[in-house]
Amino acid sequence: MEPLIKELRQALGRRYVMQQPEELLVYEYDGSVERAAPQIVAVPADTEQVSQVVSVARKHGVSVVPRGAGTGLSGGAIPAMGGILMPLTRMNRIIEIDAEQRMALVEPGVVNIDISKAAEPFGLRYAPDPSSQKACTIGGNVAENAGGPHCLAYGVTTNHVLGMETVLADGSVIWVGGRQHESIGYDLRGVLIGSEGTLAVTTKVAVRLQSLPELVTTMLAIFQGEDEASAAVSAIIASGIVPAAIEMMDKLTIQAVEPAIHAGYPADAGAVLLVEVEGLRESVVEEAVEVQEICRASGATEVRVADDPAERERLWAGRKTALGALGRLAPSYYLLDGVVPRTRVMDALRRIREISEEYGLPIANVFHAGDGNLHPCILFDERIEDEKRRSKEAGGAILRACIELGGALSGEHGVGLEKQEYMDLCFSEADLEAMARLNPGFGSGETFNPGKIFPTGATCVELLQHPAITRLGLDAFV
Amino acid sequence: MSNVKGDVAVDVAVLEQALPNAGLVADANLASYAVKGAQPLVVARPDSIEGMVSVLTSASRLGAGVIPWGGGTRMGLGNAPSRYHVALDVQGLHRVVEHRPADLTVTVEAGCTVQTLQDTLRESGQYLPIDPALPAQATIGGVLAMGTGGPLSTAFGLPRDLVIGMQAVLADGSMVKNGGIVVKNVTGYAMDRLYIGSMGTLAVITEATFKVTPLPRAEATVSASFGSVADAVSVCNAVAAQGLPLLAAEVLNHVACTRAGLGGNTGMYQLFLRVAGRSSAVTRSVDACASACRDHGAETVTSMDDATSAAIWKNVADIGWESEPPALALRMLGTPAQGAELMALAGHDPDVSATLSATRGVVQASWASDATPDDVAGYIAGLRSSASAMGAQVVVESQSLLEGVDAWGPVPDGFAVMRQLKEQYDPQGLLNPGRYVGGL
Amino acid sequence: MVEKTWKVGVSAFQGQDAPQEEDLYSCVHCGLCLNACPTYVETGLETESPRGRIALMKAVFEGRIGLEQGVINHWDACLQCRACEAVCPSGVPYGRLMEQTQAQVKRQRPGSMFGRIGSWVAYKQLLPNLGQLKLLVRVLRMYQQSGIRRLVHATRILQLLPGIGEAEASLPDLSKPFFDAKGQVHLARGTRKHRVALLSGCVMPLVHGPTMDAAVRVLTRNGCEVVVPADQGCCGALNTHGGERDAARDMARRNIDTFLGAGVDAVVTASAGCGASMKEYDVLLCDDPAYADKATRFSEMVQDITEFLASLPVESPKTPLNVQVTYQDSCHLAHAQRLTAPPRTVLGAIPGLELVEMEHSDRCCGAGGAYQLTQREMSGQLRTHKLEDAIATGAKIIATANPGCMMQMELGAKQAGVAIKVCHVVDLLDEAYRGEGA
Repeated sequence: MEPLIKELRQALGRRYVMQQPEELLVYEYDGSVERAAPQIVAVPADTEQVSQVVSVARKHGVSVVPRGAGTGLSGGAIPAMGGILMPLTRMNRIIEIDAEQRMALVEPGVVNIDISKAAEPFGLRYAPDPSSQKACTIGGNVAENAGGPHCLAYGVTTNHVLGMETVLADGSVIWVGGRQHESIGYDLRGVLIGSEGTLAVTTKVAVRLQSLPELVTTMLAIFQGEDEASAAVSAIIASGIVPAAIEMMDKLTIQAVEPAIHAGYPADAGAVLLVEVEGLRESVVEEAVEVQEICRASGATEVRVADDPAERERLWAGRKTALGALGRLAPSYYLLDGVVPRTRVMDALRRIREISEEYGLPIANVFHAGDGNLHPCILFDERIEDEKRRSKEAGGAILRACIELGGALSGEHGVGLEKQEYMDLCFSEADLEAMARLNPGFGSGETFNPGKIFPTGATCVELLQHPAITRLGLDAFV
Repeated sequence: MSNVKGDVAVDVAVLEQALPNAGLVADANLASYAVKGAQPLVVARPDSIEGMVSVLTSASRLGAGVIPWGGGTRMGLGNAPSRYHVALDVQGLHRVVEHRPADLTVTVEAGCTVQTLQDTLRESGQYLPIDPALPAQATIGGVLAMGTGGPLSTAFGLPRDLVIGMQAVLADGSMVKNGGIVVKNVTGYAMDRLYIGSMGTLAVITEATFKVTPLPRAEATVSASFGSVADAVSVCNAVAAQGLPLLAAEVLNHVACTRAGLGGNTGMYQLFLRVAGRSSAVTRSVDACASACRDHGAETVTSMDDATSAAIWKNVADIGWESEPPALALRMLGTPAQGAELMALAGHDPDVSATLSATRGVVQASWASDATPDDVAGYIAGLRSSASAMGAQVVVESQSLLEGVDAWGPVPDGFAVMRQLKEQYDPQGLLNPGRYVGGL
Repeated sequence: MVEKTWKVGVSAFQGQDAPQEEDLYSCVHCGLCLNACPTYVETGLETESPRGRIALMKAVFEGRIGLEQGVINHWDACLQCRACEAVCPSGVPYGRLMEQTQAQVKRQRPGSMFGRIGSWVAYKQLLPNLGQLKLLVRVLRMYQQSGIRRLVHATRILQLLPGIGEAEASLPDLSKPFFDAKGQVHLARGTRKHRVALLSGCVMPLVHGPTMDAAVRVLTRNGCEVVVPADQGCCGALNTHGGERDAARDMARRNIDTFLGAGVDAVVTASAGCGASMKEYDVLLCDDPAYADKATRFSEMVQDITEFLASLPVESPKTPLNVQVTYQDSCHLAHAQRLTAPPRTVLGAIPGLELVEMEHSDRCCGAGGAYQLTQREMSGQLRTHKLEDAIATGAKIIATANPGCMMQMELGAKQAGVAIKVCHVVDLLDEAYRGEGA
């Protein structure tokens, strides 16, 4: 360990190579329920230092786990097998905004919303907007192929990233994609986006920017029940309107949100739908009227409409504070990310209700209804072992239900540690085998973020034997 | 690439024996499956995924070189094959597997033509926003294997941006899939991104699921004539900056205009802007586009209604491929800012038909068979040297073998990884051998 | 009772003022606080983030680590600006957690002899006994104004004492007249609509005496009778932040008795830090049966001067004040009290005044009470960035709402060598009123 530390310190300076218990402790978690501590935290300042960390780690046979802000919800940034954790948060410069080519070149540690803030004076924005956009980094977004409410109309991260500068496991630096919209050769860019930091480290990102819409109208529709709200979603899609976002909150969420922000949701509201349409003034005005009509026809008891920013913000407030408000109902929550075809949302919600009863844990639903991306939120107390176990089992049951309804395990959070044991629900051995060949293809071996994505029956045993455990004690991890 | 032992042993008899159930086409016209002068020994046209698996499994066992075929509209792309035993025609798999209008998704087999798919979708008021040349022949599998965009990419991105799930068969005959039928999915690696644009060198795409789009209620096209490409590009930038619902923006030189039957004056460049949406928005967009054109000194501005507009864009998509593939075509790839410059490079030849996708920096140039440059190799070398200086690439497409011309030019950054990937997914080098970038 | 098995050792948090389990576990480590935290933004390190600091508290609580110096250093690097608290979706009471944690540290790890003497002087002598503080400031003022300072600088004697030289250089200008709390009553101009008490405070009357006078004039101009009780003391905020909660309680009790006996509608303060602290006397004294109720009543009466003025609503000056002003959100107003609109409302009431917002106006300037002295480097970085943001607006005046921020930014302006004036929001309102009819 000592020569490794010494070499890292030569590369990064003393302050940015950390190994004290209190320094490792704060890097053992991300936004998920998983945790595991690294042996070393190394925080590089530029591409060259990233390359040096990777080379030194490779030389000593130690793995590297890249990390953004640690807001991920699937354990992607958790060093499951110990090793070096490499936060890229110091690499946070916006290098260039090219308004004419509608492109921004940024470092991976730049916070998602800061790109849009920097682009705004040019009438541009970066479209993908994960709920954690005020904290999460673009590097993390690339690793997880992050989504967000407005991905309904505009697509997810992969649809907005033109290219990345990337450090491979041998320390070499390459560009995949670039400023060009088309390039020759295999689409390494597309493969690396969403690879959860297992194949390479992103050190610069070129993103596409889009024009700010001329008008945005937000509508909040209140329904008696989830079925009516789901029907409204289907009817909106069927009408040929593609809103920028369609979000739903269920009864339990509404009951948690109302005392927190006093949005004025009726006590008997069974579901709330937020629909946002944007674009050219003419179409937004027409679409807004149609959406309101559809909501009313589907049984909405009330539809609120806003098109100035402050008013819109107020309609969104309930949705944006929902998870936090749910956090007030219980000490812990397990937030899932299952996705079903949009026409099966109603069935999925019904199954989730049954699972909630079966496992005796409240489950709230606040989710991207327009694209069928559910976020069931299982409320429990992580300090009570039995509740923790039941929450995991209920989560598994929900994921199985999503698959049965023709869906997938994750819409936007990634597989990470959370869902790796469920991968064989979706994929055959051959499918997983084909995916696994990317690793030797990129020459990454065990260098980057080992122990993720693929099912491993052996994870627990391996973890127990891991040097980091003997150092901090088993209790540090469970 | 690993050298396959016993290559010489692959002959017609061996193949016919090994592939009895795989839909071998009896009395196939082998010449019609020729690639740059090379003919296959047999043609297989399986009509099921099992058949597809069987062909590739057997080919892999024998070490036979396989070239997947779709509609054959773009077989001029790539280098000459280093080995070619089996022409694998995927058009036996041509079903629209399932269209789910309420989900806005469709699953379709690789051999289905673009036109067939669009016709199915149109019944529900939807479409897949891709617009390759010759849609009645071009197959979905072919479009994905190429991975390149058409005019609609201005608004919808490349074909890869529309794919949400994929099934493919690897070189060793294993059937694999990723993604699914949901519009948002990050479960596992995005393997489809690897296969799309790989020209069938890593896997044969057999089925894909797309997200589709409602047909716009109205559309219109604004056209204007400019003395310089740069002016036309400026108009596109101005229009894009206004957030107008711009579906496509192409600049055509006069040869391209003429060939598309869209008029055209020598020395002038014609800009076509396609807008779509609600009729109120279209009306306003047409005005805004026309006024942007006039602001940039356009000589004539015309706008066209729904039906005319759709017809124009069908012709624009086909430019160079009006009835059959061109003798020589170039695709020049630059940044959006380099578009005008690339267009100028291509436009030197008086016989070239050239189009620029104005917000994307992609130029497509083509020559009819009687009009190709005299010294093609020298001409391309010159273009490439100018393009390289800008960091742009020139991809060459030709029906015949061009001596001394590599179809792709210099290998891109990350080529070492690409070679390793080829080793992983096609270690014997059987799929489209030697035809891809850097001889992969 | 269900058994909870997550604790692996004995918590080093013991006795009174220990961080509470419910508070600690209301943090679900989502990370949404990160970008709001000035020290995280500066360093990019989780160790210097709110979530990291809470993780360390949890680790101590769970018995995984003790109250070791390495742990304490990360807590000490916290400005207690509470920007994290304002953006936390789970409602984690970060300020309370950090104050309680500091109280534990103070009790169990008193630190070096030098530090102990320093904090005894500051927290147990100067702040509770404002007479002593005033005496000290008089001495310093004499030092600044007499020839001694020039002599000291000429001999470079300060270079012999590391750190002292810098501290000396960052002393605020002490030339302004003091403001005295001596039980004076200022009558309302025109009809009396309210009777309010004004908190004088500790540092403010000595360093920004003229601002206190302005506060009085502005209140009377708005129809308030203003009393300045003589028996009031320092609010105790610095003691609370420093972990000296018992000393803070004594100071709170004294203020509660004084102000509740003053027969006023509201207790008004021109110091955001004091306002935040006094609005939380109810929490500080919740375990004191004799004072819990009184503390709640008192806390409800406390209002920041901008909050109070904006609620009246404030009377617009009749003559314009043609200036460009940028506003720096004082942390204890914006985050602790969640008041961002009132100071802007007050500025907006001044005709001719143009408010030019700066980037990151609600990011801490690095003053943080004693932070300026204890975390010199970080404080300096934040000060530099704050001045850069302010200068970029082109405004020649920075308005704020807290004496600590004013001193920090005055120092920043001096260091940057720019002619930018720093003042309190009420200074500008007062200036505009004084120009009326002129």
